[in-house]
Amino acid sequence: MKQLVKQSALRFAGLYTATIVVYSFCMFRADARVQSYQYLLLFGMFCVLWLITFLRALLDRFQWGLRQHYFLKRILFVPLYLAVTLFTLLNFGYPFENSPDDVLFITVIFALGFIFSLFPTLYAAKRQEKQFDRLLHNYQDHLPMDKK
Amino acid sequence: MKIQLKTDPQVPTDELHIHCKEITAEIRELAEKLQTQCIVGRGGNDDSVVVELSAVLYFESVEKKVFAYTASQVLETHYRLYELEEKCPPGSFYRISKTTLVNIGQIRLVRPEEGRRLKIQLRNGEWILISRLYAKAFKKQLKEGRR
Repeated sequence: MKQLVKQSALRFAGLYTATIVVYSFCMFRADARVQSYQYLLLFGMFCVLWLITFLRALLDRFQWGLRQHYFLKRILFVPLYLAVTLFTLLNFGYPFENSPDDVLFITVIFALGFIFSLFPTLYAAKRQEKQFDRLLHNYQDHLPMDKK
Repeated sequence: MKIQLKTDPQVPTDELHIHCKEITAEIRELAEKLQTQCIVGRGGNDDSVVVELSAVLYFESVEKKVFAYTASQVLETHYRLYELEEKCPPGSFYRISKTTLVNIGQIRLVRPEEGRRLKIQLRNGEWILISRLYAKAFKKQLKEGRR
């Protein structure tokens, strides 16, 4: 559990730092000022995203979570990521304050992209499952010990 | 063949002696089977229990103690995981994490999981996750077959 918290926290700390650096650089290039609340908002967003990721990883520690197909877990969690990001961007101010429609439009594009990417993922997963069944069956047929 | 079991609280470790006139093929087979296909562990009531390796679902190391899980019981063994890896017939058990050695014969299903991980379902219905670090090698092992 400790390792789980450490790993996901480190990842999100890295992502937060990278976002701050890139955003600050872009604002500097555009000769615009970065507001302190924007850093706070981004920090809040990454904290919530980290919490969602942590819960997602925690789910795999339970038999119930492991029983579910990862496809289902993706359907449950990806909209959460999108909603948190959308909420942050809509409250971000410059450069998104004058273009909420653009933000919504990009979010819809992301949502549609996610929905359409599910089909090939599901197809690939089914194919992989069949491959694993075949490999396992072949392997077990040649085991030195009796299967009980 | 006559089988006799004796208990002696003074004996430091469990020992098994086979008294025979000569070592026949049958005796040799029995000794080999006991040596390579069975494991002695301590059950819930501190009794020594002998189980066949094929009945073990997996071995797990928890706080420097190694436990063997079968469908109906949990036994504490005096082996380390690496010793068990050497003791078990080659290809029958596979290391799926730093702390777990799974019996491939007891796997019912192998399924892909997000992040290039795998999960396996054992014959008792229990699911175990294989981390990305071990998943690739496990898949390779299944593909290449028993070595």
